[in-house]
Amino acid sequence: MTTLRRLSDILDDGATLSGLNRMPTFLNVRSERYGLTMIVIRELGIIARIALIFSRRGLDIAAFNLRDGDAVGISEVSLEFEGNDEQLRAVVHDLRKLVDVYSVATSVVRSDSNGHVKFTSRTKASYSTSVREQL
Amino acid sequence: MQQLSGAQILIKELERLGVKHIFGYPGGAAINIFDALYDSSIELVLTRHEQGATHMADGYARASGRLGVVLVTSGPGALNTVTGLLTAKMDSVPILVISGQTNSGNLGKDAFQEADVFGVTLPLVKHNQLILSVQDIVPAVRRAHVLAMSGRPGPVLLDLPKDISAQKTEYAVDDSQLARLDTKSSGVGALRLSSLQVNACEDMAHMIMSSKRPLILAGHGAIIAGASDAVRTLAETLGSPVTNTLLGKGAFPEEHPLALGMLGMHGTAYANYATTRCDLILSIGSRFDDRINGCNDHFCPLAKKLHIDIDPAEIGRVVTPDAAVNADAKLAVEEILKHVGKLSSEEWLHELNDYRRRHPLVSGHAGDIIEGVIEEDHGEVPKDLRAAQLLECLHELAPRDSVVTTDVGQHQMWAAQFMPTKSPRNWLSSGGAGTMGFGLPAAIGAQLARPDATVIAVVGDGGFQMVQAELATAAIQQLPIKIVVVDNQCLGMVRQWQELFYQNRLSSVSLHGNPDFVALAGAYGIKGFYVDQPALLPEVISAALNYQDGPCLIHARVVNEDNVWPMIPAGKAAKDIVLSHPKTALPMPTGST
Ligand SMILES: Cc1ncc(C[n+]2csc(CCOP(=O)(O)OP(=O)(O)O)c2C)c(N)n1
Repeated sequence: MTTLRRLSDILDDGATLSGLNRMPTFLNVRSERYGLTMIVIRELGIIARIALIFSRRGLDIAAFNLRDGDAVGISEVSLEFEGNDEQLRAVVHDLRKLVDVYSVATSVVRSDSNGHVKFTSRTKASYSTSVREQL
Repeated sequence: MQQLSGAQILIKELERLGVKHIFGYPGGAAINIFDALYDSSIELVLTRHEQGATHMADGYARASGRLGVVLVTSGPGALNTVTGLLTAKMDSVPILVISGQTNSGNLGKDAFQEADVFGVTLPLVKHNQLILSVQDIVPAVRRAHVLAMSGRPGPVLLDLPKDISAQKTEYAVDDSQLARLDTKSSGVGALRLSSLQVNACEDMAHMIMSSKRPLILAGHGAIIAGASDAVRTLAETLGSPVTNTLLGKGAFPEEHPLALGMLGMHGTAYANYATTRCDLILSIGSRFDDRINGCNDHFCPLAKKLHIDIDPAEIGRVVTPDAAVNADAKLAVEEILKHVGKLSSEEWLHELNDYRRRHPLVSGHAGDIIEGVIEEDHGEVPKDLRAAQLLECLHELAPRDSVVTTDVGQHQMWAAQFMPTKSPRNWLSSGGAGTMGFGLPAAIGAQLARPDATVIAVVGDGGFQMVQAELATAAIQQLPIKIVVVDNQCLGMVRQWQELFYQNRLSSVSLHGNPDFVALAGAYGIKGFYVDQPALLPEVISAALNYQDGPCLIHARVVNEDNVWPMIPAGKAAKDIVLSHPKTALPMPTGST
């Protein structure tokens, strides 16, 4: 299980930055690191729409990648964030409600004792036939 | 082929969607669109503030089920709509806001009246779009309409730069496409259930049939889906009591023998009691929000929880259901009806009626006011007018199918309690957002949508003053709305909290300095009435209800320090309900508001 350390611990000199120390406590109680893969329409503002679903819940995105998908006007987004199962459920539901998001797949990101990252896939993102027709 | 400007195309498309009224306010970036309106059959209702325009469109949509449309200019004009967007988003109301924008070449240059309206409104809408090509206007408008009206309805915003609204292009009406979109948007979405949904409904029906103490919870979703008749048939078939949320008022007739009235923080004692005792709760289009479920661990502790919702994100979001159907409420309830019959619920109904007899809603009795005037209940009619009494009398005298709109605060809760709603789309109140100032503009919109209805705006002296400029709009339109200003000279709901939880340290809640509301109405040519005595209520209210020569206003001067009971302190469960003023101080609530 990945545990996020306090930001002040990560600072080399151990300096206590008052602002950083007052990070809300929920930042420290994350239980899992999740990976999400999405197939989205390449519309203006899609990254902002996705990002807002996380920031409104006090979740920050740890990694983000957007690349061309395998059809014109379609992109694939993958991202990682720290949170609990309930938060995962909530963000996935809200992401699915975005008009420009076609599908969302989830995975759990775990690092073993040697620090190697492993992904455990839960659901798969794919084009449904109806989406293909619309394209 | 016809060459039209982007603005003309926009208006043509709105005409084709059947739009009759637009609520708006002009400005430079939208001037092309206002120019196109000059030749249109659509009537632009000029408001006095853009926030008013959004609430009017919202009231129009809630009262009729049709799309409410708003047109504003860029920058400050567009940003004045954000409260209205939030209000509509929270309560799933289909409105379309069209905002003018600076020339597309100026975007990002801090041009005059430029604001990132797309960015600002992102979290407040179901969808929004910055239109960057004149060719995109037709698909954008059609899509906006479908999105606003279908599934779980909500607000959509289109931001249209001035150079795009000026640009000319060929415009051909594509009827086939329009017809297809229309069939979709006339309902809230699907026309029939999938086999998966059918099975889920059947499972639910079996669970319902094994219940001894069922409770139906009707929410706004039941009204939006047009499920009221089905809900009533279900309740009567089963013999099940029904409670409703604030926005679910009218989903089931609140004066029906099976009705328990409103649930939640200021709901009836008996509806809340029912949740502590029921062995099954069936939510039809409610999202179990914190107004009815302050403490999830103790919500319906003995009950199997069944949830019908069109929005998959709502299922399991607050309450983990024992069974759920993600579908249109009307279709789902009609399907359930195929598999159910009479339950033996006599004992359960008897228990609830017994409780109701012991803990009824009471208005206008003296007593209970503690930090303000302390009165004992001698069973006499008190001299001073109390808001609940006013609203009860208003309900008795007004036509049963009147549309009632409210602001937010104590008067809203008293209106919810003492003005039971008979049929859907007759109770318009800002629930999710709790937007003060909603009542007057919503009433204007509702009256335009339903010219034959009696429309009554029950507003607080605080909320009304936030939007009182719209008196001009009501007067100019000669709308016969009845505005009832419940004047307690304070921000009553906040004052109640300060009295109960902050040792009566009244901080910034006095509205000392209120204007003479009758004189204010008179300044707009609006007929005004004044009442401050219970004995004169029937006479004044009848006169106002009979007044047909445009809008009229009742200035009701009520007791200042009155409190709304019952109350479940925020964060508490139904079992913790406080039925009347406690003799000892209440602990600070753990919930937010
Ligand atoms: C726009 C807005 N600002 C602040 C609030 C917080 N608030 C909730 S109820 C209330 C008091 C409302 O006073 P009034 O309109 O006089 O109604 P009353 O409670 O006295 O009936 C306030 C300030 C709100 N709901 N909306």
